[in-house]
Amino acid sequence: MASMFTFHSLFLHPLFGALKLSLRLLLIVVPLLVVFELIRALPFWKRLGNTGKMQVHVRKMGLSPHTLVPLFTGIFLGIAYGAGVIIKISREKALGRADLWLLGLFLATCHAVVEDTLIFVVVGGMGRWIILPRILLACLLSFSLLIILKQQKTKQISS
Amino acid sequence: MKEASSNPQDELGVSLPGPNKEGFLWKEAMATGLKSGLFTTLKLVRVIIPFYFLIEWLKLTPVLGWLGHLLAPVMKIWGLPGEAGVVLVTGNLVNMYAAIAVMIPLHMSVVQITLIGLMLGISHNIIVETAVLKEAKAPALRLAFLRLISSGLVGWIVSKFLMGN
Repeated sequence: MASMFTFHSLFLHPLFGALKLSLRLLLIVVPLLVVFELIRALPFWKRLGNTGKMQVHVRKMGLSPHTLVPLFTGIFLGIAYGAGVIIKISREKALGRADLWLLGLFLATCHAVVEDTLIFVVVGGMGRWIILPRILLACLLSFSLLIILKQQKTKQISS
Repeated sequence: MKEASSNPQDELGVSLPGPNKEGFLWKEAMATGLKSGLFTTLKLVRVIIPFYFLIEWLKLTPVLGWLGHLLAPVMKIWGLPGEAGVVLVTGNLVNMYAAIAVMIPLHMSVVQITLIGLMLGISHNIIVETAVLKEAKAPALRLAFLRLISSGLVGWIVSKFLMGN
């Protein structure tokens, strides 16, 4: 068995494997972040802030408008921004308890879906089976929590 | 990631979308994306190389076989081989990239990779992300448990679809 421990098996083989994997990840991460930055730079976001139309929709979901940015970032990717942005927003905008619960619950199960799915597709996974159940789960959980929170609210008012 | 707790705006030199800038600054955006993409890849490579070496070296010993044997009864729930348990544990304790570095040398099938991707997608990097959620004052521990449980449950349901019973 001593012949298994060669320079090739101990160093060259793992090194080439690791570098090949790193290169594949580079080819996903760089374009993904470029697309992400392009989307963020769209004037669309500015219009959003002005009209406040989106904010009405967000309110309907039981979230305050301040949660939009962390929600968008969190769904898109977790690598470089996700967590940091959530902390930043929660500090600056003082999110309420309901907001944090809803945002936390949705993002806990459904963050970085684009990034995570892509890296597993590149190494051979089936994308739709990785992304769709996650989105479904996050929506289901958040919707249940929203109903519970609403019930609590009406209870508080009626009592 | 370790840098998660620091301010991303300062670290990466980007700003949050908002009404403070005029027009569509696509050149700036592409430069920022390129820069943070390379920066992020560098961070990932630092995780991937040690884990890839570790698992390739373990493959030369009987240790991986023992671990697989030990985890096989549990992993059977999802129709996965025992070695997949090592991937799931790595993904939950360290992160997704470490898990991929462990998974590739183990040569999993398409269905196995898909299931691992789904389950790790729902629950990964639990230690760091629980700390982050705590910092954001969200109910972090309860969310961590919820993620682990729903990861197992959703993985089990999808495994029935993918493997036909």
